[in-house]
Amino acid sequence: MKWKLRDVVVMVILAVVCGGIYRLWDVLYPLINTTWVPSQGILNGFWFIASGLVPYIIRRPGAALIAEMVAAMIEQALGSQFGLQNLVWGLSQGIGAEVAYAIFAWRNYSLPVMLLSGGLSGIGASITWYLQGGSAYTHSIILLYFVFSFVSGAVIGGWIPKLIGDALNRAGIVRNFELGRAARVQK
Amino acid sequence: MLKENELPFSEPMLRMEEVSITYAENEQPAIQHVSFSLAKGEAVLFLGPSGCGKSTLAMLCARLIPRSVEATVSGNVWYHPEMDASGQVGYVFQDPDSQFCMLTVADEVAFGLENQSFPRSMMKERIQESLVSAGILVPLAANHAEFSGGMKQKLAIASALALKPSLLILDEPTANLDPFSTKQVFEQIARLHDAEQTMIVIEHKFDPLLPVMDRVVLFDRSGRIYREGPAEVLIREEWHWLVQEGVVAEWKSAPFVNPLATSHPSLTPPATSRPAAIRPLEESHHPEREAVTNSLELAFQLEHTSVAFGKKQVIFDLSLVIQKGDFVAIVGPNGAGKSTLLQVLAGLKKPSSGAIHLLDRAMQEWKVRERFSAIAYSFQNPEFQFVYERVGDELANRLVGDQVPPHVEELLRRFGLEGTAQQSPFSLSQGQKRRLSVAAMMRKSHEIYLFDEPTFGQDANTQAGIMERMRELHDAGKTIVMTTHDMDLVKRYAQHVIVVVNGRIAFLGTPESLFSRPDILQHAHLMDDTSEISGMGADRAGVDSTRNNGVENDGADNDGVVADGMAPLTLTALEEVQQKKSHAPIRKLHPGWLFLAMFVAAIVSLFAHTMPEAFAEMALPLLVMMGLGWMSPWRIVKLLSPFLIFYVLYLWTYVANAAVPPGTTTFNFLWYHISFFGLIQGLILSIRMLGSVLFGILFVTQIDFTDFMVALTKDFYVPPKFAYGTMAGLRVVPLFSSEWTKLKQARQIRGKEGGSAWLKPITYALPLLSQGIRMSERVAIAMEARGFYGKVTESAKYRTFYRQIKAHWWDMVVSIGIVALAIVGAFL
Repeated sequence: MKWKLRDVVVMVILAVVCGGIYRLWDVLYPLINTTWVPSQGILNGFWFIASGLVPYIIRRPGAALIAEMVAAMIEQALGSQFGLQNLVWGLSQGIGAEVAYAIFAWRNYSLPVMLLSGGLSGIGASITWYLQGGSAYTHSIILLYFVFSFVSGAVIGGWIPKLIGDALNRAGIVRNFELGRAARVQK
Repeated sequence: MLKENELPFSEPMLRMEEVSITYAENEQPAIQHVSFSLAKGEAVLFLGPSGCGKSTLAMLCARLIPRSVEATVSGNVWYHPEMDASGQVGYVFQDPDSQFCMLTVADEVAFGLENQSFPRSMMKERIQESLVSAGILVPLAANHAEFSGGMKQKLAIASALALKPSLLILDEPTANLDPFSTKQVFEQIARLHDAEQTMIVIEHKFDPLLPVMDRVVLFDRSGRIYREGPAEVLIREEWHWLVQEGVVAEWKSAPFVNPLATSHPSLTPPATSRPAAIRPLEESHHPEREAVTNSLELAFQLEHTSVAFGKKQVIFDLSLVIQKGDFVAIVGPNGAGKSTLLQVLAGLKKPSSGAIHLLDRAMQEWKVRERFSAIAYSFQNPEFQFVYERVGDELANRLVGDQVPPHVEELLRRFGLEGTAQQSPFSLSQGQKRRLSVAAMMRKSHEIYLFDEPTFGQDANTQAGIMERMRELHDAGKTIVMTTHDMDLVKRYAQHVIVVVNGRIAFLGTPESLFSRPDILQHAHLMDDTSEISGMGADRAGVDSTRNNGVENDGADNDGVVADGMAPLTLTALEEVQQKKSHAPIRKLHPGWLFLAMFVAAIVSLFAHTMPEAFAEMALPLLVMMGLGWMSPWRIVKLLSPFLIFYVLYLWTYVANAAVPPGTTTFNFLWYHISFFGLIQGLILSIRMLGSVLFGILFVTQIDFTDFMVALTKDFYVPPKFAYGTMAGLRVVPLFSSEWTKLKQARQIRGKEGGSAWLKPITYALPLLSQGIRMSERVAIAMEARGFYGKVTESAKYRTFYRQIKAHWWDMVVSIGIVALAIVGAFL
């Protein structure tokens, strides 16, 4: 359960990739947002990939939270329009995901747990959204935003990272990480 | 086998008996029943085919196995007590990019010293000393990402030497280097040997090293030691075995006049000439013949072509023609623009000016799909080309499952990939990956074949196989263009050679005429690396009397080249540093406390709900930027401008969607209800969010990231493992953008191939992530090799720091001030 140096470095590198994806998503977000606000919640899950992918591969306590924070920092450094508040988003999303893994004592990374972690990231994000300006929208928008974010998080921030992780594992790339080790033990 | 007492060395550094090493994921041991010992002051060369376990044994000698790399070790291993302390083994790895973890030269060299708790007061002196002894004269604050490959390797050697290691291991240090840089590293190895440094060297291009190696250890394919003994004698006696095992290519000539080898039919070096002059002349490779048959048809025609990446021009006004059926090699120093030129030929990179003709038409008239049925292109990294998850699918270019079609089986056999059809392309060995990518290129027939460093990182067997395939294509009348560093390949295969230096053509002609122009060879860093090491003639004259005197001139000239290459680099690096060291007060602040204050202020700003409050939250960062950072308002506006469109759209969402108090007039349109109230709400939210953006800009532009990380670990109890692991990971960011570009190009070539559309993101993610993950493993091992393991990684109190970062009373004043002002502003 103890972090190794290579866990830290791989966490950062994956978070960097995710941070880049997040930055691209920052560009699309206002366009989607302009048409119908809750629709943005549907695609929120893209911002939680790091807090699903990294813990799925390295399986260490705190991996979801730290990875999401680093990814948010990268996104910010790449010139995100949210400024330092990005880190608040990262914090809330990371805590959401981390809660799911913590409930299972960082030992269970099955599909239901992954879905829950992504969903809770969505709830975390929604809370920040509410504080950051969402409260000014109509009630129906707020409610839909929470629901959409949860579902989107579960699918895009939980299920897809699992697919990517499994593909990496099949390709033998992560054999020196906890995911590869766990898969070997199962065999 | 040679007994220890026959060697002129007495005190052993390490001794191994009957050692076997097995990696966790494998059943076969990488090293079997090996007995090896190393004496103080001895220099040993490890040789063997790829996958023979020589690196594994070196990592055991460095104690990286089993500490950093998990593996089971059996047998007896004994280390000299001197080697117990951290940093007693210096390890220089193959890839210059994945063995650094810091940004500047000084931080990099200091990293290992810090892990040993070397006193800070003596660090600077030791750093300079080790830079001098590694022959790299650069400012301490220079950013090493801008260095050439050769410079990077010298810096890696300097970092290792700073620790004054009992044992230095160089694991293929020149694999990524051009001939000139290789020679620089070899000269360094010679100097180290003179200084009686105990060394283990793993190196394929070993010829020039033989005079400075005391002993050679030969490994066979199964991971056993085949033979060991005095360097020159052993190589002479075992040359035939080396060729057979694929350690050296069959067309290479033995490094010295060799009565044994000449009797063997496959080895025919004319005993009178130096290896550099040997050029096999075979019937099918007479340039004249090809020239006659194809004289009218052109494969490529470039007229005044220039290429730029952003503002940086990399190819200057280049004109050339390549005839159909030609075999052209593009050579030149690292970073000269060879790969770019190849990309231009493939139409992957558009020139900024000039005209290009491909076959009978202008480049722009070709449709992408047509172009890549005429051209096949092989990337330096074969992984970029893989789009399927199984080797069989990759070769069939569709999902075939268990039914591997016969033509795929045939390809697998031809390329020595039998039995891999069900495996993932990414799990293959380096050699297998390259062979697979070439096999995939052969699936369809093309007119022109472009190869970017096709033999890079391959052992002699794979090299020979690939080159033979290329020769077959060429004999069938195809046009072949490749970039390479390997002048032996150029000599043996190419009909014409293009020398590119600094984006210009320095030479164009036949290899023979190139090799008669030492001035060009030297200018283009192509001085043959199989020639003897120069530059050490003076101090080594007594050691080896066979060395001729002429090479000393070489050495002097080389130094001149170094100075030339260095001058602009040094200058820009210094300028940058001076720019960074502005006198703004923000430079003297503790970055950790400043960041914390800004972060808290960004959270507090969420509570601003009226227009004046919002303006106050935006004014605060402006105050800090101008007051402490001395940033001009103009610069701030410029940095903010990219966000304008976003904020206009953001504002609209509130105008159209805001919840309004009862009785407010709204204009209803579709599902929007547009209101003036919403506009005001949106303005308030936008303005306070801009405050947070300003803090973000302040953080990115004004805080030195290394200082920030050091501050976090020293004063905020972040374990060094996380701080330095993050530094190392972020260092890789710039590499990603170039990887991404290449990946996109590779996908452009594969076109619509690659299965269903929803799988596409995964085919993009796999190569990119696999690169990243492998790199992070290498970086972590390299950091651990520099003593970054155990308690040193857990807490800052077990290591020293080269950078002096301290919190002062004024940090408290500023931090509390920022938070207090944010709170006042939010609750006006």
